[in-house]
Amino acid sequence: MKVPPLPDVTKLTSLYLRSVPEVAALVGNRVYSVFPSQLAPGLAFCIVQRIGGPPAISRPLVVDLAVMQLDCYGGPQDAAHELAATALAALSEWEGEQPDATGNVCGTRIGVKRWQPDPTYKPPRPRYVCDFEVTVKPAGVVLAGTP
Amino acid sequence: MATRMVWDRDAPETVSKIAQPGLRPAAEAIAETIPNFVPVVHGVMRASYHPSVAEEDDSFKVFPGSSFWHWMEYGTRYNPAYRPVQTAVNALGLRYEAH
Repeated sequence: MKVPPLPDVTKLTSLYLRSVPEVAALVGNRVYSVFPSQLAPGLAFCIVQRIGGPPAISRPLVVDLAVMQLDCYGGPQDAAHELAATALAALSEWEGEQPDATGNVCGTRIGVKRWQPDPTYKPPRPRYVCDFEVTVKPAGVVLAGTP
Repeated sequence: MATRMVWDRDAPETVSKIAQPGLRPAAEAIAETIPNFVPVVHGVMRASYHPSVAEEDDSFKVFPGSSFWHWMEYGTRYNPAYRPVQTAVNALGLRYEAH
């Protein structure tokens, strides 16, 4: 194989959000990629999921464009909103080589933010659903004309 | 021979007029495709989708026709976001824009 595999953007995103002090101040380490099986009610947390996105080019397969969903659950609605706004602000500034050579973020594009409480809780749990896109390449890959 | 470009004040309206005949087929194709991207375990969720198309003044609206569409589209604590509507639009080669 001549090219390194594309990074796991879900993992990169959750690691990054945990490393941002402003986000950690709101949720600690509770940034997940799957729904936590047990979590105390009222605790704020985030879930990062990849929902699609084709690679920018297929050959060489060195640039990925991941379409992501960020679910921000709060205790009350304003806590969910503060979490969503803080996480999106952090994501909008995200770029560069990631720790431990896990990948290189070329840039992000922030999409819509929806008020969509989770109806499977009684009463529905406050939640903002946010879309964003991340362009990434494997660590160490140098493309002509890119930093 | 030099080409002279002239700005047409009615260009946006002209483009809309040209595109108008394609709107209904696109909307109907989306409506027909959406259920194909609803995950199936017992088929209950997919059976709840009854997509329909409604014509408006200058556009068409596609309704998923399920009371639970937002469960599938955005996810819940029991299921991830499968996004059948967004996936159907993309699968037809159309551009999905969320607002």
